[in-house]
Amino acid sequence: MTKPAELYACLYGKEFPAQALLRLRPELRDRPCVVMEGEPPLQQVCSLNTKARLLGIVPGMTSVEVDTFPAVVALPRSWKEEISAKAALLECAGAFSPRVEDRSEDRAFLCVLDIAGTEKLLGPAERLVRNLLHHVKGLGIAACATVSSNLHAAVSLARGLSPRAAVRVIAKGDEAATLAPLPLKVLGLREERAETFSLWGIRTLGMLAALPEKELIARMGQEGKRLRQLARGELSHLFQPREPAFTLEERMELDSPVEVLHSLLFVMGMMLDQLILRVKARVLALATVTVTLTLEGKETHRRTVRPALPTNDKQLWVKLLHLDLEAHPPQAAVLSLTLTAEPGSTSKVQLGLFSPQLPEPMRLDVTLACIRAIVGDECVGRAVLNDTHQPEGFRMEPFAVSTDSASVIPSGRFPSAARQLRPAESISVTVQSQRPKAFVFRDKRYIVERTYGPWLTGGDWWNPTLWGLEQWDLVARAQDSALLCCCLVRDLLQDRWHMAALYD
Amino acid sequence: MEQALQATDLLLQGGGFSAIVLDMGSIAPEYASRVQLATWFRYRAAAEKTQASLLLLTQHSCAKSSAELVLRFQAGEPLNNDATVFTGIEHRLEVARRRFTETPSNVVPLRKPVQSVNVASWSARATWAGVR
Repeated sequence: MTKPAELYACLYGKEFPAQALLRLRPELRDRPCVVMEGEPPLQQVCSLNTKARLLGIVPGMTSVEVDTFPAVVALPRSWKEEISAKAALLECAGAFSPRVEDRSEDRAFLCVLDIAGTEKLLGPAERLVRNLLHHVKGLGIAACATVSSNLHAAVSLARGLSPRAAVRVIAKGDEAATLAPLPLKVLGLREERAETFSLWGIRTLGMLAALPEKELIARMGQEGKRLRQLARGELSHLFQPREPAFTLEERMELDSPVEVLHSLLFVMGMMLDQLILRVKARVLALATVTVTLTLEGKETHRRTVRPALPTNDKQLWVKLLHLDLEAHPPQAAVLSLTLTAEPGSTSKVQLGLFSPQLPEPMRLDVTLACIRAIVGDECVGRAVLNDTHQPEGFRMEPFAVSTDSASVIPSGRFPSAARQLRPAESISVTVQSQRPKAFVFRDKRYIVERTYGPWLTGGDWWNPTLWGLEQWDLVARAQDSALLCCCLVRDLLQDRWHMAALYD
Repeated sequence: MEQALQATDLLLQGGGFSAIVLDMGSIAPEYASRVQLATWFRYRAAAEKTQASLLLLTQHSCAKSSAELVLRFQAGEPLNNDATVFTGIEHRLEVARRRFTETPSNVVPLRKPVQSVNVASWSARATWAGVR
């Protein structure tokens, strides 16, 4: 049986803690930035960008030492932002190969893609990794990539690649020669092993590969054999692909508590950019976005925005989130924010030539959100009857435009309308032989001409909220001969009369 | 009332609706007439632009010259054809003012021209009243 052809691409992002933080802070990319780790006041530099490195800052410096450099921005390390950045990168890699192994280190991002057999679909290996790097750059991360038929050779080369070369492809059989000039630190040796090799005068992988195998095993055991195979690019590897769940989440920890909504929206815009980029890669659109704000005092404020149709329009999302947060502002200053999104399919609506004029769903969303901000949530929507005969037995549901044909009102029959009074107005009624004879409504006295009723309704007798009503339809005339058709209601429990509705 | 006017403005500007009803029928005329004429003029322009019909219900005519058509309802007479239930109201309305009427041309048409009707009446029946 022949061994199947193997080909691996390795994606390597240096200084990942700094890159993950600067991804959502593009305004800081042109300034020297360092990421500090540890308990204050014993923080140390754990990662830094090129501008900071050129100033002479090195990892391990204390915050006091960093303060001696001018205009350096120090950011605290954020594991949560690193996790979301890593998820975005792995998802990007997943677009090029279904088999991706995550081999990330403490301060660097490293993943290996199994790209054997992708040549017909995605082109030669070099073009594939250049495409991959282009997509990764779109996520705001600078990385390099290597390709080799041996996984460990690709990983070692990626770790030792010079900053100028972003892509390197090792031809099959050239592994040992390509790896030879690399320093030993790319193997990630333990301290004692590194010391032993330096005592022996072994500094590069080429020197290690040239050592005789049996003598090396006699001195170092199986570990020695493994290191020699690593240096020669011959160590085989059992690929362990990860299958990530597709979660759309972006998290941002703010440097200082923010109270102004507009500053938050600026940050949200950056995060939405990233979410839209990721969701677009799967030919999907954002269906809902949930904003979770962590406030001062450990409280959280959560709002969900769901437009009528899934959309990737960033301006629309910012507008909707703005209106929603303006209507429901957080009660304290914001420490961090998380955007969680659910994907939906990009739907297209087929419009008919003779279909009625309908509002554009996206504009309608913005209009409704604006109106909600003016009059409140409970006053916008569509009234739906509850399963009860109780007065005010309705609820409001979100308004949606159906594209079905409009309901047809039977012609030739005009239903009469009643103008409901909310709240019902108390009136005084003169009753004669248990029927209303006259009443005073809005300072006017009416004599009842015709009476219809009573219609008795009641319910909830099994609950403390029981209710009972007596309804009368009246035609009454005032002293100035104005006619009034109205609906009077008598509360049977409290024996009070109310004007419930006027027939229009 | 301020909120209702703002919401109407937004719906008109948003476009896409064929008809928008602003019901100010239960607002006393002295309050309804305080709405500035500029508001109605703005609504009229927006409705023309978005091809929407704006129906304004008030106790007295408010929109003045911004209205395309002013209809006046007479006080309705209750129907009296059932002794046990309230069956509905007989409505009568007349056209109080129409902004654009068709100008008569000099050409004598072969067919009898359409005659405009300025008065209409119908009976609105309650949903619980049976069909007669």
